[in-house]
Amino acid sequence: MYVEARAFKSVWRRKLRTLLVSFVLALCVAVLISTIAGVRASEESTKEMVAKAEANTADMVAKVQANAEEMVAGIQASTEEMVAGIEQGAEETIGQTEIMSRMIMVSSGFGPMRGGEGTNLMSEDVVDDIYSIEGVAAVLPSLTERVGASSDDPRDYDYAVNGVLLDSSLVEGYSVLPSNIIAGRQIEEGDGAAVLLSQDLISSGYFQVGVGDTITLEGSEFEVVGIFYSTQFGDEKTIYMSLENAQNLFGEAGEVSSLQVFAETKDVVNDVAEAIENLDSSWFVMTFEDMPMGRFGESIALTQEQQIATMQEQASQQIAALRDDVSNIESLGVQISLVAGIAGVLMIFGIMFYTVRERTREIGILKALGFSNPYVMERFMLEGSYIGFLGGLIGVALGAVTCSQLGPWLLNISETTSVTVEPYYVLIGLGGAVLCGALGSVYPAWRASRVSPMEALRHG
Amino acid sequence: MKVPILRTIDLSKTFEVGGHKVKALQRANLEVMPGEFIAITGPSGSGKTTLLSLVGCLDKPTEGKIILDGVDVTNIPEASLYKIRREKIGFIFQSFNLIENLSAIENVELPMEFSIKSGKQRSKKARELLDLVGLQEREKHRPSQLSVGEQQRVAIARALANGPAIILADEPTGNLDSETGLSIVKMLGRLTTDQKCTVMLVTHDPRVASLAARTLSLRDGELLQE
Repeated sequence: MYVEARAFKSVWRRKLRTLLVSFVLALCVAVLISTIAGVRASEESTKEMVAKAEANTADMVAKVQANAEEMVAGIQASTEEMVAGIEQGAEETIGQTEIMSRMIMVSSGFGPMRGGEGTNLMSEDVVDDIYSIEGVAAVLPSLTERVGASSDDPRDYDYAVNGVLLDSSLVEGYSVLPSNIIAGRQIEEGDGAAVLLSQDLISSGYFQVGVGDTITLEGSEFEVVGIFYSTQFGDEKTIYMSLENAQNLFGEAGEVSSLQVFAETKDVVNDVAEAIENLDSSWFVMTFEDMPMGRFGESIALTQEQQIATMQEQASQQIAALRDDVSNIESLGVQISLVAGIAGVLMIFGIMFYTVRERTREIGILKALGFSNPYVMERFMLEGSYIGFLGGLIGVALGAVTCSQLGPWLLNISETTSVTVEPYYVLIGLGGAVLCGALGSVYPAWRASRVSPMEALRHG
Repeated sequence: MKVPILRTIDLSKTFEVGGHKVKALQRANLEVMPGEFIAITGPSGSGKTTLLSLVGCLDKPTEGKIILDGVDVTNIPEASLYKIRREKIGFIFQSFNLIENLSAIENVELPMEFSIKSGKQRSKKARELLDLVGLQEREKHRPSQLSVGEQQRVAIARALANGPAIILADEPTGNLDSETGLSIVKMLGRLTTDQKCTVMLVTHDPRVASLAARTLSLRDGELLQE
């Protein structure tokens, strides 16, 4: 115990030296603690950012999935209704299914019911070209224009005008017009400025009219001759009129947006479809067999999967970049800590080495008085450790102040993350400083223990 | 029949300086009896300090033997020699060699660190020794706050701390004025009579040497009998 007290007294009595060394060592400890706390805070902040990125991705994926599911569900419901309608129609009208199975949809863009700005139109002359294909029984051109479209969402528009041929004799047993007339009558050839209005457009309040009333479309007036109940997907906001009226209304005379082509028999449908595709490869050609919603659903599912994959890849890249940042910060932290530790050890080494030289005579006296080599070594190592401990205490306090006051300034961390000095940082700081003191003193202390008392007293 | 407290047999020490061998001490034979006050005189470079260092176990002889208090200390390894120095020898140096940042009493307590475990007893013994050299009122003073004579007296008290077999004094009056020096030597003389101490003193001052009971001379490393 006595050697500890002697070492402590020796350190205490050299106050200025002890304080100066301790203060410099304290800076090393403060750097060490601030680095550890800073790295930890950066890690926490990055984890928070990663969690947010993951949550955002999951949220976006969920939205995409929900959107796609909603669309698919709508399409399926419509398909089921259509199928039900077809089945019902089949019972009522023998041969209706057979007619549908001969149908080929041709449009200049994706989907036969789309029109409006940005959609390429086809010249009405193509009707004759298609008629020239072997096996074609009839061609029903139509012009569909969406009015009030405000975004890329195909469902987001005020209403659609569908101009069709009103001659129902072209395909026996089939009409392009809706069959569920709930008020008034079907629109017919020779009606002039007449329209068939979807009940949904009235029930939504967009048009507050009834049969016999007049509605104004794009500045032209039309008489409502009938109101139909929509049973097809996309038909709920449609106004039917003659093709000629639609072309005049939109200033697109001689142009159509889609065609319904009927083959003579079901067996030649695919040949006819192929021949139509050969006419213009940019057209969208779809047989009735292609129409079942599996295809469209698959397309949506594929698009959805691609979107999700892209989002997940982007999120993964972002998260990987953040994790890289953490790894880099950790690596930098280790380097700074090492430099601080080495600086501390070297400083103690230098001071203790100088101290040993300065106190050579004292060492000689101690050895002449009968103090052993291990005692001398232990005493100098203890002195180094005490200086280290004092430096550690000051450094921990300095580190705590630095972390709380300067941490948020110096580090790019989120507002919810704070730079705090955990209790075990204090232990690391103190332990590290004492270790620095002890390690830095090993060689000087060993040198001190090897001092010859005779030489020390003669030249010290 | 009295047994010598210190005996040297053909004690020699050769130093190598710049490739040349310098014989600092040649075949010195010496016997010091218990309670004896012996002075070794000689001019500078005659080998006085070398002899003192050898018998004080601070240095190793090139040849010969040293028997201290019945123990042949010649071949004791350095790692164990510190015990001999602690228990058998008390040193008094020309420059006092007190530790500057310790008080007078702490300097005296220092050698007793291993022999007396109790701090209180150590302090009590140190006070007695300071009282013996007349410094009971100056125990809290640092060496720099004491006169040179007082510092040497603290050194004497420290030399007596562990009740050594022999006190070795190397030019103890060298840094003192003649009056103070003489008083110090007289004090050492009294120790041999009052405390039954053995004192071996090295000096080049004949007046100091004359106060010793026996005087030996060294010339060019050779010990001349009285």
